[in-house]
Amino acid sequence: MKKVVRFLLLITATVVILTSCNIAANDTVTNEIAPDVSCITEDENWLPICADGQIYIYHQYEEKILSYDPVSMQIASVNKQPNFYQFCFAKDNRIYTSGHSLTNNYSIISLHKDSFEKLLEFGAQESIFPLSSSEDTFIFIHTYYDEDGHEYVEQREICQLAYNSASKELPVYKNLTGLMITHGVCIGDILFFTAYIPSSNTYNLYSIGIGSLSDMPTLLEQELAAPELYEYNGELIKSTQSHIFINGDDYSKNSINYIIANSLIQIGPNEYGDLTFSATSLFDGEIYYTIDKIIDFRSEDEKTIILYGEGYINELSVR
Amino acid sequence: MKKRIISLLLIAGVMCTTAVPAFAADADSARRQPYVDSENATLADAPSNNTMVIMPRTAQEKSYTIPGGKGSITSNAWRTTGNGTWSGNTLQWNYQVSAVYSGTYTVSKIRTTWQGSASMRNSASLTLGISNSGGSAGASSSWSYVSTVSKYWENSNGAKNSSYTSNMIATPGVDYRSGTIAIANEAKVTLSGDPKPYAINASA
Repeated sequence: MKKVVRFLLLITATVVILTSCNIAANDTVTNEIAPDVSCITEDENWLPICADGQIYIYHQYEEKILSYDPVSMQIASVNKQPNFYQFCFAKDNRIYTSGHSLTNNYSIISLHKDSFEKLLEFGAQESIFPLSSSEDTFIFIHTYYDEDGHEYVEQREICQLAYNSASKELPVYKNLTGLMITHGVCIGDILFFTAYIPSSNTYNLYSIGIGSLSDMPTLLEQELAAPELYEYNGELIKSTQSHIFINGDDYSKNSINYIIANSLIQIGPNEYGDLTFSATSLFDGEIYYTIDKIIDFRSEDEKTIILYGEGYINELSVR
Repeated sequence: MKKRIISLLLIAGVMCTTAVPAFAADADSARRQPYVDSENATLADAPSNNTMVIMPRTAQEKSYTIPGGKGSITSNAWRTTGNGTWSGNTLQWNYQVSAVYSGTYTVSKIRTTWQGSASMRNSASLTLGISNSGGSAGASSSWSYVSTVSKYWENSNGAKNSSYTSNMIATPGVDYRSGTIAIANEAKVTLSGDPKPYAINASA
């Protein structure tokens, strides 16, 4: 009987040793764990400080506010910590939100040429994201979580902040709470927004007056394939996962899409893995400008934008 | 009593031969084959001509569970080990990077961002095997660390992974400092209905 026991012990030990050797020989480190947030401190969620002559711009694709040297035309400093991101409003570079996807501690930031200030700070179980803006009214998505990071979806709310307001209050749209809203666009005095429907993996399209915090939203359309909305000449523009439909024409969607003047402005990786900026005329579909290594662009007015890239600052007249 | 001991040992043996090898086999198969998502193949998923040779490799696979029980995000980085393979006056290392989401939620976007680095000298360059990816050392004969530019690939068609395979090239190979090559990768995913992106890094 002892021989049988010894034999089984030998087999077990051999299997364990062999499997261990297999891993070691391939020099692989594998970790599948719950995120270790204990080591992430608030000090690590820093934004860069501009040195003399440097300016703040926003890495559109990497979702990071960074300091940029306009002389060398290179990034001066950026916090590369994963999960710490900043989020922008389309076509407005005054207000951002900033926070960590795992530890939260979000804030609303007012960004200036070479300085910034935190207007509002949120707790470890809240987050805040831009939805859309109209002149000096900035509209946000405000979410709440339990200690394990489960979102209280029924508490997700839409609120707004007036630029330069002394008030620290964020008035809430009373009848939008609980909708899984992720995207929106302001056209005139109307906020159009999409809400995710998990059961069908589609989106419902609604509208509400920007200043009508107590109104009920109007359901305009159901089962949209994608949430992104745009505005062109005062008209609401919808999209699918792969295309944007403008005036009867469809344009390929990229990672980041804006409509400025009569152009579709896009940023995304090209076939070589470079971040490419492109401008497409909405009159004839011609791609009239492309450039690689784009970081950010700032719209001076509806006719001119300044492009900030790795190694260049260019001015583009938008068609 | 003896029967109980034998039973316990048999159970222990079965556990060791299923759990651990399954883990090892997954990791091994991921390294030996360039990952191609046949259903959602992209240009970036196409394997290069240099990726089918089985060579010693180093790899790192890191993942975490997304808060709220929303599945997990994994960053993979692997490359061939050692001091590369000579081709002309260049040294080359195969590499693969990927971002993989595992879970039942719908993926809105998933991207992989990678960058290579090595210690070089005499204006030698390091590239990622695709255009405009180079970084160069200074003209000095002293060693200095060179990083390539970052490269990006993204799937926004509902695919649950994004990957890229190519080779890093040090030119000339004689100005590469032994044992300093590295590839770093960030995996980032955004899920439908959730405004937060989730990311993790791995390097090899």
